[in-house]
Amino acid sequence: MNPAKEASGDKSEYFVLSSPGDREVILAGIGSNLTLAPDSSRDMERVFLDTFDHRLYRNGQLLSKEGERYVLRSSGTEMDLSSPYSDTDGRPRFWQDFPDGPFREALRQVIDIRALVPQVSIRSAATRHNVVNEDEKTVVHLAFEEIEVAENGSGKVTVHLLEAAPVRGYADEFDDIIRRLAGMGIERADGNIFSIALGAVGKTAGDYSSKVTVRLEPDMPSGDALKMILGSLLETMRKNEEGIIKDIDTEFLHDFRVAVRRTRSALTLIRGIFPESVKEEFKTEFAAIGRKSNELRDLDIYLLRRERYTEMLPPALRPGLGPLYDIIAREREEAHEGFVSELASGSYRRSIEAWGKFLNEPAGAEDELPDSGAPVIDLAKKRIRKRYRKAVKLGKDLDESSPDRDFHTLRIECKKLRYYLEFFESLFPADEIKAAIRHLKQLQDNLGDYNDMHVQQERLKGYISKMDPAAEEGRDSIAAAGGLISELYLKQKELRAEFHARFEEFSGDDMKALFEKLFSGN
Amino acid sequence: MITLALYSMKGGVGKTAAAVNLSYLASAGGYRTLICDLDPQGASSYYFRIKASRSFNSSKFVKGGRIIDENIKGTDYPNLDLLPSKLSYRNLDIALDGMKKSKFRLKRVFSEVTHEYDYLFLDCPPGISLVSENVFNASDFIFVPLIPTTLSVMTYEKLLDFFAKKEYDAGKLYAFFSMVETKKSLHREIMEKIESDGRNVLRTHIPYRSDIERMGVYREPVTAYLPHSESAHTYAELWEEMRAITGKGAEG
Repeated sequence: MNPAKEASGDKSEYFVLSSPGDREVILAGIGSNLTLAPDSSRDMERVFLDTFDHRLYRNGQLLSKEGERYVLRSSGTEMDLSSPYSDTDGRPRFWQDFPDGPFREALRQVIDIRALVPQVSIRSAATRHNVVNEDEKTVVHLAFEEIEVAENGSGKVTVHLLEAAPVRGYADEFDDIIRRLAGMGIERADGNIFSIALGAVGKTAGDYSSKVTVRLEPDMPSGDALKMILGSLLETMRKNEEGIIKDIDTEFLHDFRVAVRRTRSALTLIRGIFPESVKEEFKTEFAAIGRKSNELRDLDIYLLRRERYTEMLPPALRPGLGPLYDIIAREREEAHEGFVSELASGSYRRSIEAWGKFLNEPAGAEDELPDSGAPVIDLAKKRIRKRYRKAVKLGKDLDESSPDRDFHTLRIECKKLRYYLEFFESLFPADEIKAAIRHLKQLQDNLGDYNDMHVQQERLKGYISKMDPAAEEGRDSIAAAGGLISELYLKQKELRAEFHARFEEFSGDDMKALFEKLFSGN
Repeated sequence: MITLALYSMKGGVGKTAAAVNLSYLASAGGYRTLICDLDPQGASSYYFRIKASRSFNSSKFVKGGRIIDENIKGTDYPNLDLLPSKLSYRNLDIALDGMKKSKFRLKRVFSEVTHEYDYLFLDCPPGISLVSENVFNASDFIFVPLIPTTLSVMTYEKLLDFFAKKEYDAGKLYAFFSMVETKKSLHREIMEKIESDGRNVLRTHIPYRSDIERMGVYREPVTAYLPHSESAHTYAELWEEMRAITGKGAEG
């Protein structure tokens, strides 16, 4: 088994054939002392579905629509869903769109809040053979497939494949077949049918990540490294635009916003490397695009938490959530329209283009400053150290009486530190920098939730003033909003009580020593 | 994982036929299903054309652990695996006897696969023995096929007495009529009597039919090779009833 295989879901091995004629040769070669049960042919059209970030694929699962059936394959087990879904526009997008049952539960656990998107479709004509033992028990399945791959309107590509699928408990027989095929010099393909099909149309399965994935070298010039980081962030923004515009799911906007915030953070690193004018120009631009998406994101969060909020409220207050959510849904539609027109606006397009142009200018261009050539490791250490010290100092000043605003300031500072750590992750020993990030994340979660509670209470207060207390529906909603506000307030108090423990860990001797070890020098 | 036993003190009442077909139906419905053949005769293993590996035996089975995982075999159907039995299972009682918590041993053995399957079906040997008591402890539900004859009903009464005496939860017990010949007035009378007694009796009756008998020739569940037959429909109805009882019935 090759390692790519382990992660790729079904346990089949695939072989690429140079021509359909290879089939007879293989059957003749494989047949000795194994019985091949009679042929059966199957023509099939399959559409593979996955989330934008290929969560199913990464989790070793494969979802396909075969005729009217949805089939989820995961590490050898197969789940068939033949009943249709309840979505109105004829296509299930979220796990909730499938009928209750194990299939839906399996999907929920992996795709969570992401939508399913058709990734690639294949038409295959398969001839199947069962390799059977002396009891006529199937021990290996073989299928010769001619597959035609099509991806969203692009041209079709034909591939000839042989799939060998194992049966549990018959590993020896499977290995034997694989050995025989390898012995015949048949080329084994990496991955599963999904990644092979994507590969045929020039795509790579599982290649999107919202994380900063650049690999830096310690002595790389700072200017180059920064452009790599910023370039990868710009790519993330661009990849998510379409999903935001089409309103596929809420994660597109979320990833987009994180990339924007990271970009703004990375811009604070360019002093002495690129001219201040560059920073000033784009900082304003990215701040604006971030700000313009705030409303939409806040409302998305509300919609995502509907179930949680319902459970938070005593049953008597729940009916009031309906009308409240009607307002939120309406506002969200408007916010979405507004932000989509921002993305389409000339000014946004122009600045993104200018930004891309700047990032693509070759190293040594005249607008670079002297520090541009300094090794990135020095920049990374110095700036991370500074951020950590600042965060520790801000946190130490907080006490019981500190206003929410000061917690917010620390939250922002921690975010910046987190981004710096992530930008430069590849320069440091993986386990140590991951430990630093983990501790920071625990503090961030506390601060993030705290801030969330604050923002949501404010918004709910706003809704109360919009409701009509003279109408029954209005009164119900006011009561529901009031109930939520008090629940959120209680949770906020709990979080504040927890804050000190989290901060102690973050600013304690162990973390200090770790930061010292990783980021001191220069 | 929900564990269902197909159990009867009496032999030849349609336990294996039920276990094979019901487990197939569960798997076809999308549930990850394991059928464990506890009968040394190995009929359900035979129906699925599966032989246990040579090194596997009753003492390894009761010891449990990784050996279980290694000996589970895939049937020819998706989602359906089988743990085959060996002739040495005739000594299962001896293997269990003298072990610590000897009545809870199988429960522990099956805990190995709890997360891997939604349903575990136990195809049990006849008799009332230490193996049976292990089955009672390991199962969430025990389904007893009942031929509507006086003798069969008497045996069922004995089982109920045994449950009462040993303080097993009789609420786990469900009977269903098996090998029913509606032409026989005796069958009809006994079924009416039992059904009016207010016990846990399922509504679906499995008829006596030759296509069920013929499973031994085809070596496939009748629900798979003749999915549109009367027998297959009856098993499907029985499965729907069981699915509702086991708490997964509200789904789908």
